[in-house]
Amino acid sequence: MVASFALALGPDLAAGSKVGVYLDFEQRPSLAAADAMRQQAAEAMREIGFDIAWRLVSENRGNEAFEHLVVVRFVGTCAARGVLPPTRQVLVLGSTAVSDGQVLPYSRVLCDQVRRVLPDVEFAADRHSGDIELGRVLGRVLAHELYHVLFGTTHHSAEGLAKAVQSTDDLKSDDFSFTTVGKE
Amino acid sequence: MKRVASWALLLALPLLGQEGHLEGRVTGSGAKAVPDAVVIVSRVDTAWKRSILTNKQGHFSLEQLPPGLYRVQAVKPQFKPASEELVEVRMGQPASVTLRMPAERDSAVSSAEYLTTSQP
Repeated sequence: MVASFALALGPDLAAGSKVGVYLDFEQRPSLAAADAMRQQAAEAMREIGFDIAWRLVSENRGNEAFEHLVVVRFVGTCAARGVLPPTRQVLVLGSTAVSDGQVLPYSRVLCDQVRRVLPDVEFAADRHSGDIELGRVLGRVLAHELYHVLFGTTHHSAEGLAKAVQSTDDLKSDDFSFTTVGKE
Repeated sequence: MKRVASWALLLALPLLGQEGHLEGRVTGSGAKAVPDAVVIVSRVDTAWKRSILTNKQGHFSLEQLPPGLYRVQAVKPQFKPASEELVEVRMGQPASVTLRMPAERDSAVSSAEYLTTSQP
């Protein structure tokens, strides 16, 4: 699976392409959630040949260039707070901008939507643990959006993190990545 | 030790000044600055490519560019992509470019959706 991703992007991927990911939080996130999110996303992307450098949009001075660059807006509150009612509906957790069929390097992660499909995380007795768990899921949602941008595709794969529809079990699993094959 | 340092300096000297510098600005309607636009700079004759984010004033600056001809474009949701500009970067000389992003789109940019299923 990794080989086919690498082949699709070309030979320069083999060495590990440097990606500048600029984060833009609508509201101040939980630090534990933000750390877990970065760690999970970096791990998932490293597996398919990308090395992430994290930056904040608010600190950008317009003078740092990267092989690839993605701007990610985090909408809502990225922290488990025990207030959002759970839902069994299928929700959009993130999105990536497309214009005239071209994938643009701008994604969004919807923190409140993620919290609503993870009631055990949102209402965790230990808020710190809940934030870490939330961050891991946010990291996987982010990795999925980065996949769209870095491969320039609106398509999804049949298995793993690049699937169109994910179960919450998969998103919370200890072992779920771009190369995970279904357990059925 | 001094001699080694001098040799190192001498070896490095020919490299100085062999790189160029590109700076620019992205503007929208009425020459208004476009912050947080992604500017893509790609060399015409090779696969070399870099991306950079404009600052609050719509400016960007790339140091240490090998001399050559570069294609420069900018994108941002809600804007039409700026038309591509060709810029020549010369040794030791700053090159400059202004990218104009045409009028803001009326329609919202469509999104690739990422769906999830909650567990029963």
